[in-house]
Amino acid sequence: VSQIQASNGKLVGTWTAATDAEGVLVAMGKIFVTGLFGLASPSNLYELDPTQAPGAVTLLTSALGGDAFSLAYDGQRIWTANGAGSVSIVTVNPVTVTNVSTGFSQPVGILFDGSNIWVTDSGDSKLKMLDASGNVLLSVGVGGGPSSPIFDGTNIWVPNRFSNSVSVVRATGAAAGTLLATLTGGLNFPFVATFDGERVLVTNNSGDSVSLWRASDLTPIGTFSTGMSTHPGGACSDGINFWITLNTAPGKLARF
Amino acid sequence: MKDRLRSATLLALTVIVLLLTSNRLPADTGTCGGAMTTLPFTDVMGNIFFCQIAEAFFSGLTNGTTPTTYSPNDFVRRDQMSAFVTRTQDSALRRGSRRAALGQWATPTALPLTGRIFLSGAVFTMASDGPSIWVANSQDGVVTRIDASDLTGNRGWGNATNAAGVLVARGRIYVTGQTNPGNLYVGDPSLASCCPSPPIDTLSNSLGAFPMGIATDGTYVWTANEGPPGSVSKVDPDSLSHTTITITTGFISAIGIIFDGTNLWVTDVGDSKLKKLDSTGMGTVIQSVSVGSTPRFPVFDGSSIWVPNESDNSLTIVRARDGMVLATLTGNGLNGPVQAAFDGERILVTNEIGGNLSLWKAADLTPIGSISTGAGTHPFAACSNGINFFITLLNPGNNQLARF
Repeated sequence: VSQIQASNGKLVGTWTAATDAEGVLVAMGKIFVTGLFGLASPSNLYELDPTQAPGAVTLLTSALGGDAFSLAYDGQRIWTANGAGSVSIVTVNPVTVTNVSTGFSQPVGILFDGSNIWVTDSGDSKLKMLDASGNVLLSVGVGGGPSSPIFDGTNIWVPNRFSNSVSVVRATGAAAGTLLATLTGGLNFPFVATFDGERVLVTNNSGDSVSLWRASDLTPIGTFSTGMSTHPGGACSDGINFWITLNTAPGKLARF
Repeated sequence: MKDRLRSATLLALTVIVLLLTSNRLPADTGTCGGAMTTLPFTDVMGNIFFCQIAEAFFSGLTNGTTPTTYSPNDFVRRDQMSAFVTRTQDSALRRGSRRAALGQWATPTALPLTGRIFLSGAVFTMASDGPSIWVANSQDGVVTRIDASDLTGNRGWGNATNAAGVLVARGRIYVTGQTNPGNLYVGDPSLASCCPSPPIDTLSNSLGAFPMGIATDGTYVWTANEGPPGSVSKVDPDSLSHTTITITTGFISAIGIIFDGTNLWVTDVGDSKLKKLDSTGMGTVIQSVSVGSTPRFPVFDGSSIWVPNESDNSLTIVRARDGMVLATLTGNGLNGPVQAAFDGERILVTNEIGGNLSLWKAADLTPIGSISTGAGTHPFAACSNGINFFITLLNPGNNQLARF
């Protein structure tokens, strides 16, 4: 797990022993990372303390559901979306794990909107709103293969890998769960969405590009090439720039 | 006959299907930003404000008058206007916060045990310049920069005797020294270092007695001096002699001081007032607002001043424009409130006696909740860098800086 300085792109430090590191979460002053080993094997949850010098990460638990792709924090507990068909709810101090499989087929992405946890389920192409125990309260039909969504303060943007679309779903208020729009154009295996406070960016893993929209009115800003065979994957924002990972050899981190 | 029946049945089914699906199908369309936009409303097609209506709908500012109508030609009542205006403000604040871009939508239900560092002494106030937190350690007389991201760092200055209030302004760090007469220290962040830390410069050694709070009006540095006698001091940092003027008239025991963009405001624990000073830099009290008992360190949220009243466990909200008391808040865990901080959206108050933090939404004064910091922790100082709140926990031998 590497820490990069956002202002100058320099490598600050690298923590080791995070075998098959996948999802990353910043919460409670620490960095939490999932490690996954396939559908049939439980996944790991690692923790590192950024106030300490880089070293080996700490293994918190090996009892997450299989294929723990992504994480979210609800202010009290850490949640993971597990591709093998469950979500895990983790308390950190002391460490306890509750795996919930009812209602899930192939969870991929997970986020917290300030009130509820939402999970994308690639198995049945649904965006699912959960209660505090992990029960599905609401299921919203989205496109095929929904992956890593983002919450923009009002709506949830869901990239749908198999249908080359982005579903925009109202998260809050009386209209929570309403599908507002299905955006298309320029999308090619859209994978991860992120938000910079004004714009939403989606990585197009097969299209070697990123697509941007204005969050307030869903109007497109454009689709921008990341270069041939760059396969952009992960994305986040620090509120100033977008950051995307390019799955090249060697892999790259790019600022946009 | 059979064919007729089949046709009639098919027609009826078709009508039923059409009726059912028509409720679900989006209605009017228009072109916004070069893209086809579809809304669920049936009365906005061709409207010259179609794209603005679309933005209001997609941003959650309005859901229309019914699921399928927007009623673009209807008048807006004052109660509806309130809903539109407040939703707009809330949405802008929520999305405009740096926390939105960082995906930090959760409010911890307890102060995390992680994200803390130990401090060598008690810290009563601190300030943020964004990337860093500057803490004044009165016990050791040191002022230290701490990285807001990972809470590391020990660069700073020493010899800041009885360091108390901290101000980040004009590219410098200003610190009050609680002595009699009081001191005003200044440090250049580019020269902060360790170890050892260089001595901090003294800008003035003639402030009023025991200065605590510190603020700037853009030209002068002002301090609130507890006394006796209570006073405010004004220092011109640009003059060669760093001219210092101390005003005692109108003050009994000044503690906190803030600038609202036009006027300075001072909390006075001597008569439980919030005092507004003239805008010409004379330090004259032009308005006194009664607040709760023992008003301590207030914060300005862009509209209102939030005053924690330590002795009566309340929070007085004063409109800066005219000094009107908008509300006196109680409950929400208030127990010995001492210091308020603002992150652009929320107000945090430290409760020294209660060992907890209280949070409110600044826009409508609604409580968000009370968060324990643990038994015997005595939370005191508070500031925000726009992403997190930072607080100090005063516990002899176990002083801490914590991120929330």
